[in-house]
Amino acid sequence: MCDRFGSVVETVDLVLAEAHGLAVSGPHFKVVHRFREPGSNCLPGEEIAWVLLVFRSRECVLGLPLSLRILFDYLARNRRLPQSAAQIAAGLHFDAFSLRHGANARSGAKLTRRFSHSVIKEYVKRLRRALKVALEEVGLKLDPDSVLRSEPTVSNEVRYRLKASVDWIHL
Amino acid sequence: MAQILFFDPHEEDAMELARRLKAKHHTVTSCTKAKELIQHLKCHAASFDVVILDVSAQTLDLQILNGVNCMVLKAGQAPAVVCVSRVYKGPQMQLQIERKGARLVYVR
Repeated sequence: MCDRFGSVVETVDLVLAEAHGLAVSGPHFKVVHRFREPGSNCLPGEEIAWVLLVFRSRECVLGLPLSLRILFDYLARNRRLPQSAAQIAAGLHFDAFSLRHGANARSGAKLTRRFSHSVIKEYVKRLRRALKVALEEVGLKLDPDSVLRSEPTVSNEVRYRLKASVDWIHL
Repeated sequence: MAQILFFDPHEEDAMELARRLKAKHHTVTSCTKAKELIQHLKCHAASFDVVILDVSAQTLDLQILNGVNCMVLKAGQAPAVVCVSRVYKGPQMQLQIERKGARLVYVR
């Protein structure tokens, strides 16, 4: 017997599972690192070359300048726990990966950036703008504020957390 | 389990698919007219988890899907959109639908 609507029912199951996955884990990103030392992954000296948003069969490269790529990579590596702008700035100043970003390229060009507490807040806004463009590009109806989340504290300090799943790719 | 809004101008097929979805414990709201669809989306877009649209009669501009996308974006929490077609639409239509964040499935 021909089941005319079996594929529709299966697709409804699929989109519901997809929506549940997005609600639990957020969207999926790929972060591409270049200039790795042979036999190593994610060590200081590599460059964060691109950040891609992946949805179904589509990928979109986020339009991020160097500072925002470093910030995104840091937030992605520390996405389990929220951090305030001051904590993020302090973390980036302490983080060996960010301090030696791109050093393996030995290109002479400066591939590091300095981050302050006030600059982080501005960068969060810019990162959300880039996320908005990418989410629209891949057809994912998500608010960028729900991906790069602001989480309240008992005072007026706000903490930021990236709600996403992330894969790192090394070239 | 899920709240589903379903637009299909073919009443018999609409009833059969609604029955199949209800058998999986989904709550189904069916409409056979575009006006009813718009009314449901205006008032309750955020309460639906899935919107199923019959696009058999649609051309590449996908007006109905554009309209639905506008309304669900205004609602804030966007339901997933599944497009259903009885007529093969070719790869361009499928790509257009996917670019708008929906999925296309054929009913033969």
